[in-house]
Formats: sequence, C-alpha cells, structure tokens
Amino acid sequence: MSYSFSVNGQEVDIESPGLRPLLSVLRDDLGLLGAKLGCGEGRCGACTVLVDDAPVAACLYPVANADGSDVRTVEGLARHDSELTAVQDALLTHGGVQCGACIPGVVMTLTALLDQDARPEDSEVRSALAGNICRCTGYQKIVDAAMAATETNGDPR
Amino acid sequence: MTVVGTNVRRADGTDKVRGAAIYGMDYTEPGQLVAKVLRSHVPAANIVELDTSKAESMPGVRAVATAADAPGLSGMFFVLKDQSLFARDVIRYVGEPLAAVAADTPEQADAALAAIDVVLEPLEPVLDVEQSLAEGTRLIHPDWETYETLVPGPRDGNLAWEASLERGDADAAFDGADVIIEDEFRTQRQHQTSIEPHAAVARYEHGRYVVHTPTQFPFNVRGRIAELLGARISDVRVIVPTIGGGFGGKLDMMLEPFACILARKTGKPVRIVNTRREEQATCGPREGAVVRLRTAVSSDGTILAQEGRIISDNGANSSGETVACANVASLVLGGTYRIPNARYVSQVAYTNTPPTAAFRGVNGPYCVYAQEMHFDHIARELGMDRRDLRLRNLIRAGDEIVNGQRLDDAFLAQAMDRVERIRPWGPPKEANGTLRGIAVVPLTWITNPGPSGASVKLEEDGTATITCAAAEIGTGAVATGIRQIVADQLGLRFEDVQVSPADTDTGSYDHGAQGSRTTFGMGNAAQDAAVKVRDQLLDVAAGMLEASAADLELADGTVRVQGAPDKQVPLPAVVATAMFSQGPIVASGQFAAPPVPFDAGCMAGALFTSFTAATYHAHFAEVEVDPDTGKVTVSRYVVAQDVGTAINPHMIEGQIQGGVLQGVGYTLFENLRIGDNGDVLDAGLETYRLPTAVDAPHIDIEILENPCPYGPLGAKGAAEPSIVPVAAVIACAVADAIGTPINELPLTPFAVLRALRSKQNE
Amino acid sequence: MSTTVAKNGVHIATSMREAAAMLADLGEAGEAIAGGTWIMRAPDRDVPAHRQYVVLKHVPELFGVSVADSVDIGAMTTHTELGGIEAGPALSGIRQAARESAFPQVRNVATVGGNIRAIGFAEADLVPAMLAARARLELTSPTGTSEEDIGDYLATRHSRPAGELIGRVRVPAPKGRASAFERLTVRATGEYPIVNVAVSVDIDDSVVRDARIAVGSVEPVAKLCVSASQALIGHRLGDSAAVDAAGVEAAGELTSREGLDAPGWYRLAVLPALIRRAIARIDLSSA
Repeated sequence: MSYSFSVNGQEVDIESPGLRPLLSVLRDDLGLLGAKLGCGEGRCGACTVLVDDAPVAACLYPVANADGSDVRTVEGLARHDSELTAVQDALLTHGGVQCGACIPGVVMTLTALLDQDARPEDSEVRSALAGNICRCTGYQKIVDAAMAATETNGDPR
Repeated sequence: MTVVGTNVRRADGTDKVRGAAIYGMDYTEPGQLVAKVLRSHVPAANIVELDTSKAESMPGVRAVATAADAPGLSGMFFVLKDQSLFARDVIRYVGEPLAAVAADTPEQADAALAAIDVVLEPLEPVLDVEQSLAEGTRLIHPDWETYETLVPGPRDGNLAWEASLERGDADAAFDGADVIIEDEFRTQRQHQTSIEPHAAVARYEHGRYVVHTPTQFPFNVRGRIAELLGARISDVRVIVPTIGGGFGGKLDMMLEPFACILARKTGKPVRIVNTRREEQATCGPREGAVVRLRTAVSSDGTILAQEGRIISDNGANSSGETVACANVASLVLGGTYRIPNARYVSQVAYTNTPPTAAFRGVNGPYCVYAQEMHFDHIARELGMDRRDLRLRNLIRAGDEIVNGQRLDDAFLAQAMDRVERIRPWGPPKEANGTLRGIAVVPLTWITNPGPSGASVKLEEDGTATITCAAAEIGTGAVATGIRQIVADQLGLRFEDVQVSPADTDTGSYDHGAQGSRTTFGMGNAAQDAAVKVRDQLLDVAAGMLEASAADLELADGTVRVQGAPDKQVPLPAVVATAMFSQGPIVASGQFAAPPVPFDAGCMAGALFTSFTAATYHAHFAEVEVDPDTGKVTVSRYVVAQDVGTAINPHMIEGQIQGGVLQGVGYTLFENLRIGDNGDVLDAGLETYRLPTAVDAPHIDIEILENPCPYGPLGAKGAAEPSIVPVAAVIACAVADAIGTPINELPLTPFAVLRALRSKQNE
Repeated sequence: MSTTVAKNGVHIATSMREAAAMLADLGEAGEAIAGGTWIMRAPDRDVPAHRQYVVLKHVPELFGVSVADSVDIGAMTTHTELGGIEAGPALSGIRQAARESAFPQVRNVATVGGNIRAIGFAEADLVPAMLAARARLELTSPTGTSEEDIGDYLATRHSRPAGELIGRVRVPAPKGRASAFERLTVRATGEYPIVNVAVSVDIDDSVVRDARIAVGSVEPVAKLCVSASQALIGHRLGDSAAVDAAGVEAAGELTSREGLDAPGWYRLAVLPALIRRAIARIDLSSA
C-alpha cells in the first residue's frame, strides 16, 4: 500500500505495509534518526513524534493511520543551520541532557505542551512527561528547562 | 581558574537536542548485513546436537556462527574465565547464545534461526543461591577447577568466588558484648535499562576487527572480544559512537563478538541490535543477594564487632562484574562506621540464570540497605535515637576503616551536619491519614582508581584537542569536565578545547566510564598532558617575548608576561614558531592512582582492597505511606555530597538527581524477577517499572568541597555514589513510618501492605 | 473469499458501510484497527496478529461527540478528546478515566472503541467507567445498526459476528446522576491500573436511589458489582457504613487475577479503599 502524509512540512509517499510502525518509516525509509526505538512497546517515549500536533508513540503508530496527517519530528523543529527552539536551548542551559537518548522524545512532548499551554505548572509538566522515560537525569533539570522555556513562551495568561 | 567551577553547556548537547547525534543504535554502514542470535529457551541442558546446515543454505543467509568460531574462555575484567561466547556442550541459562546468523534482512535471519536444529538433554536447573551452595547440589560448571583466574581466589564448585576480610578479634568482642543483634536481608535484581539497547556494527578489514559500539569501556570490550575470539588484542579496534545510557550495563562486551565473527566470515559489515526483550532478558543486571549481619554492641551504642555474610548471585558465568566486585561488600559495610573487629565473607554463587553484572553502585546499594536497617534494629533494641547511634560510630577524620586504611579527609560528620541544617532531625508532621517516617544515612564511597592516558595538542589556530579513549556516557565528564580542566590549564575558552572520539586505535588506555572515574582519572591524565603542553608553549613564547618562562602566563588565548599584559603573543603565533623550532606542540599525560596504605593481610580474594579518593555523603528521606494501599511516596529528600572540587556543579547535580531516582526505583518497584524456568519475567517495561517524572521527589542538594590531593584540581568521583544510600534511607524511613522493618526489597505496595497487615494481626 | 478486499493487507475504509462490508468479507482473518496501541503490541503479548486490518481512521461517522440528554461519543474518540468533553457529572467518571489512563502519547491515540473492543485487556480504564455509566453501544454490521448494553457486549466480546463494529457509545446523563473514577498504580502514574473503580449514583433528596459500581483489572474483564452497588442504595452518599459494606461486597463478588503486575490478593485487599475514594470523589454540586 502507499500512504501519503507530510513530514516536517514536506509531502512524502511511502510504499509500506500498513501496520508498519511510523517509527520504522521515519528511521529506515526517511533517514530521520532523531526519534529512537527505545522499547518498541510504547512505554519509554523515546520515539515520541507529533501527529497533527499531538505527541504519539511512533513505535505503536501504524503508518496507515498517518495517511493524510502532518507528522513532526525533532528534526523539524530547528533546521540544522538555525537557532535552537526555546525548549532545546533551555534543556542545555539547565543541564537537562545527559546521554540524551530520550531527549528527542522529551523535546517533542514539551513542544506540544508549550504549544497548548503557555504557562504550565510544574506538576503539569511532570504529568505531560509521564510517558517519556529518562533514565539519566531524574527529570528535575528537564522540568527546570521546561519551566524556563515557558518564561519566553507566548503571552502571560 | 575561569572555566572550572562554571556550568558550561555540554559540548555534545546541540546535536543531542536536535536529534542529530548518532548513537550506537543509529549507526549503520553501507552494505551491512543483519545479525541475530539464537538463544536458549531452557536454563540447563546438555547439547546433544546443534545442526546449522539447513539454516546455512537458506535464502539471504550469509553466515552462521557457532561455538567453533569462538574458541576462547573469558570473564569480566579477565578475573575468572568461565565464559564461552556460545554455549559449548552445556547450556547454563535461558538466553545463552547457541548460534548467530548474518543475513540480508531481519526476516531472513529470523527464518534461519528457526531452521537451526537443536537437540537437548535437560538438566535440573539451580536457580537459587542458597540451593546452589548447599551440599550435594549439581555443579553448574563441573570443570570449574580448570578455569584461569587473574588472582587466586577461594573457589569451590558452585561457589564461583569468595572474598573475605577479617580484622581484630571478633570472637572476643562478641563474648564481651552487651547486646548481639542479627538480621537477614534479601534483595532483587535491578536492570540498567538504558534507553539505548546494546548495538554493534563490525567490519573486518586488513585482517583486523573494527567494531562501532556504544560502550562505556572500549579497552575492556577490545580485550574481551580478542580473548573470546582467540584474536590478538591489537587486532581489534573499538570505536565509540554517542552512547545512549550505560549505568554499568555497557561496561562489558555484549553483541560485539557476534558482529565481529560474522563480519569476518562474510566479508561485509554486520549490524546487530538487541530488542528490548533481549536487552532485559540477557544483559546482566545488578545481582540479587542475601546479606546476613550479626553485630556486637555495648549498651551505650558503641559497635564492638560485626560479622557479615553476603551471598550474591553470579548467574551462569562471570561475564559481569559480580566476582570482581565481591570485596566491595566488605569495604562498604566497614567504611562508614568504626567497626574495630570484623569478619566479612562475600560469596558469589553460580546459578542457572542470566549472568549478573555491574549497575551503578554495584553491591553498595544492598549492603548499605542491610547495614542501615540493621543499625535501626540495634537502635530499637537499645532504645537509642537512630541518628545518635550513627553519629556515635561514625568514621571521623583520621579514623581507620575496616581494611586498616586511615581516612584523613573523612567528612561524614560534616555531611551529616549539612543535612541537619537543611532538614533538622525530628519527627515528621502528621498529615491527612498517611503514615510518615524519616531516616538519615551517612556513606563513604569509592572513586574507581583505574589508569588513564591522554594526549593534548595545540592546533595551528591556537585551539587544543584532547585525544583519548574515554567514553562519554552522558555524565558530561568528557563533554564538559576534562575540557574544562584543560581549558583552564591552557588559558583557553571552553569552546576552544575539542576531544577526539573514543577509539582504541588512537587513544591511550583508559579504564572506562565506571565508578565515577572519568573526570578523576582521565581528568588527571588530560591535566598532566596539558601541563606539559603549557610548559612547551611557555618555553617557545619565552623566546618570542624575550622573557623568562617563569614570568609568563596563559590567558585569553595568548601567552603574556605577568603584570605586563601588553607584552603578549597569540597562541597561533606560538604554535607557528614552535612548528619549525621544537616541532608541533603535543604532549601525552598519564595517571595511575597513588597507592593507598591499608592492611593487606586482612583480606583474601579481594580485587578492590581500599578506597581511592574516598567521597563522603549523607542522605535524608521523608516518606509517606498510604495505610490502605501500602504505597510509598518519597516526600522530601536531601543529599549532601563531597565531590572534592566541583568542576561543573550543574552536571554534578544532574548525577545526584539521576542516581537518587534510580535508587528510588530500586527501592520501591524495580524488580527483574526470575521465573520457575529460570527466565526473566520482567522483560518488558510494563512490569519492569522505571520511575517517571511524577515519581521523582524534590531533592535538596548540598555539594561539599573537600579536595583530594591527587584529584585533578582536587576533584573526586561524583557520578556514581548518589544511588548507593537510597534504598537504605528510604527503607529505614518506611520502617519508621509503618513501625515495622521490611527486610526484603523492593518495597512494593504489596510488600508494605502485607507488613502493615501482619503487624496489625500481631 | 473476499470481494471487497485483497489478501494480506491493510484496508482503509471511508464509511461505516464500507468498513462493515470489509470486516464481513474478511471474517475470522479480519479485525478493525482504531488507534492501534493495543493491536501493535500483539507480538509483545505473544498473540498472533490478525493478517487483515481495516483502518477506521477515515470513517467520518466514527468521530465527534454530541452532548444532550445523553452524550453520544464516536468510537474513534481518543482518550484525550474524551477527557476534555464538557458534560455533566454523569460523565465525570468517564472523563476522569480518560484523563488518568496511561500517558499523553497513548491518550492521544487510543480510542473509546478500541478500549471496549480489546480482547484480553483487563486493565482498560474506560470500560469500568462506561459500565458504571450504563453506556450503550451502537453496533453497525452489513445488515444494519443495533444498540446493546455495554455489559452484554463485554460478556460476548469473544464471539461477536464478523462485520460488526462499534460505531458510537451513548452515555445517558439524566439529572441527579453523578459519577467518579479511581485507579491505583504502583508508580505515581503512567501504567496499567492494579485495580480501577468507577461509581455512578442517582441521587434524589440526598439519598442514593440507584448505584452502579464497576471494577476493572481484577478479573479478566471489568465487572459490574451488583451486591456492592446495592449496598449504597437507600443511604446518604458517603455514608461510611454503606461504603464499607460496598467494599466488602465487591471483594466478595470478584475473583482476582494473579499477574506479574500485582498479586491477586492485593487487588482485593485494596478494593474497598478504592471504592471509598471513588465515592468520595463524586461531586454532587452540579448533579
């Protein structure tokens, strides 16, 4: 079957079995290696991408369901020759990155959160991250980064 | 110092947040084949027949590897060589490799594995350490006496290794004691569960194996591959891409030898990546253990003597660190408190289970858990305040610990004091129907003393490059720490110092990213090289500035005369001048930890014998227990940690926060259970529960600076230890909350509710 | 066999009629796929995947929520969408279940229909909430459309006719009805519940006139606890003796699963506390 959708703003046509995970299409067909295959069972969040602006676990997302959708991955946030986004930048300023394998997923989750809610509380940031396992940082500095990114995010409520 | 002590952003960070960093799991080579491993489904059996002929002729199959391709016997750190790459004649655990296949596609590889005929004769599995050591139990390694060892260690049949320590006169002390307390504790396996599974890509070129693998310890992996394959060490080259987490789980070779053999047999690059299930089920976790403690105490709370027996589960062979670290148990039990008379025996037993290995803190977390719960038992028995008991027996500066080593820089009392200032000792406030408890735990911990070599060169543009084979596992030791140290030595900005990728062909030996040692060991080596480079720069510049080298300083990318900043030359000019006078500016540096005096005669079978660059810690926890469900919430956590000198405070805090949360997981729910068939039950992340952002307690952190005379700029190891006292302090706080101790980890809601109910029924 | 679908494939349906026809054609070999979070993990459960799937994402009739005397929910509504619907306290339990289940990446994808349809999914959070709320399912097959109580559907879930699919879920929201949901996990969140409880009550003059307590994750399929529900009737909501009685009755009505996630005894041991908490969570102010 052939499926058409956009990835980071570019239209793609993918010839693939329909139940193939979107993650496999992104990594193996499109060479977008940012999203990681951490567990393959939708529990670690390292493969988080946005489908129509909502974070999803790409390892559990059948490519057939992506047909007609807009998919965004970490590679689509800041082009390689451009500035980092506020979330990406804050993660580095606040020491929120260690091994970094979870970070592409964390970045996508936080990007979606801050798009929806300009000023989330600490507890809302943590709840939003419940599906992103980070084994290194203990999350505090990721949360610190998210809270700092909200400072420059949108208008105050 | 201008760069050291600041929170510079990690040099590898931009690529990581962009998703552009290439991890081991992302690395591929053109024309690569896919490799998969056939693994045993039974825990113990004799192999009657293993026939790969059908598989070899299947479509797309390029090679099949079996035991015949890997003649060597090896073991982690080359301590006890009881491991073959593939099971030979005997299967000893579920998941043990039987054969490996390289094919064009994963489907073809799977089909080939399914076509390998295996005929087995089942044996009775031995799954439990006490059963293993019992009289008359079947020997898991009948040929155990033929195995080579690095040092002679007491061994006997299913007892893979025994380390022991005896000092003073324990028997006399027990005879004179007012009170004798005895306890037994049991702890579970904990899996490292890095987000990145093990992965390797190998090719065979010019008669050498070249393998890309995200390993913490490239030189160990190189040596282990060589030994298992029967190759020359220098005929293996290990190159390290970005590493997606290790925590001890990537110290040893895992998939690399399969990729190497298959690359040689096919002449093509071969890639192999673990599934999450393979990762959880076959990559060695922290070992489960039984700890028995018996302590003689005087009525005023002074510890007179202690006996301890630790039985840890080696699993089916010594491919993990469990044997090498056996004696760490004794040092940890006797390193924080004055225990004048001691007798510890640390036994490592074979079982028909997946081999266990290093996880951050190795056997520390469960030994400290046992010791601290035991101390609370002593306090209860004496009617003494728990903190007072600890302070009474605490190691103070100049005291001897259990191996006879004097800790002149002991800083435990100060760490306890700092915690006290943040959260004064006293009962927690009552609140909304939950049971509340507190505990505080001091700890002495080690910095791994292993050696390092590095070189530093000055580029034509005046920047510096460090060439070394230290692996950046995420701590920032390479991405920030050693760069900061070198930047300060050379008067450079942080961004003017590069580090080459870790490659065993180019970097000198380094003892791996383990035991908090990279900033300490590699930091020392890189500093040594930088000092020599600095001397060369000053020497050349002295001629250029017509000044004495002693009057010069390196700052802001120049060499200048102290006190006369207008008399300066930029580094590129110095490098250019040097080029055709002395030659390019480059120097190598080395580090070996200075010997630490201790009583060598008191230990046997010990590979770790003393504390190098000891660090001192205190952790405090306050918990809430839901009386209806037994669920534990850590409501407050405090850490005071001696780091020697803080090179990058943010990175240190990140290590503390991460280590504490791994400890919370270990204490409350992480449990890699073994089933009746010897298989790992928790092979997925649904029941192998990892802490989420919502489980992370707020942590107050005090970084204490208590410089080490032989650390780089006084730095000691900082990354590993925060996990070590967590189980102890939370378990003691839970016991305080519910009024009864639980002598087994983890403290799941099930375990806590059971304890609460059995207490009610008393 | 098939007239409308090819062998070995995934078929995108664009209408209910087409989806039902495809599923009928496929028979035993076919299954509908909604969000996919359950079916994509079939290999993890060592369950052989069906070979033929009908994708529902492009069936417009399956989307949308309308709120009136009853709340009409398209089967493709995600947990996230369901958690955000504005409806009265009769729907509170469902909303809470939708919000507290799993984590964003799953809630954004996993659907109401999929939650109800997933065979072997003892821990589904929406199912007890729907059970307690007296949800009725609109079922479409090539021969037409029918409506069925969710409890009856669950009882026969293993043997539903091929070609049938859940189109809409209707939840009555009469005045005086209020509901709540409670779940227990080992970690703070982000995993399947050890036990989940939904309670829906009809209140008149401060007295419980009717009640439904549904419990999930204890048995292989969520169950309405009839005796436990009865124990609340005729009492003031939150009457502690009645609540205690409900807890005891519920534990007696259920046979607990042993699981890797929790021992069987534990689910029953905590059940009374969860029922108490769910009841305490019921907000009568707008009922």
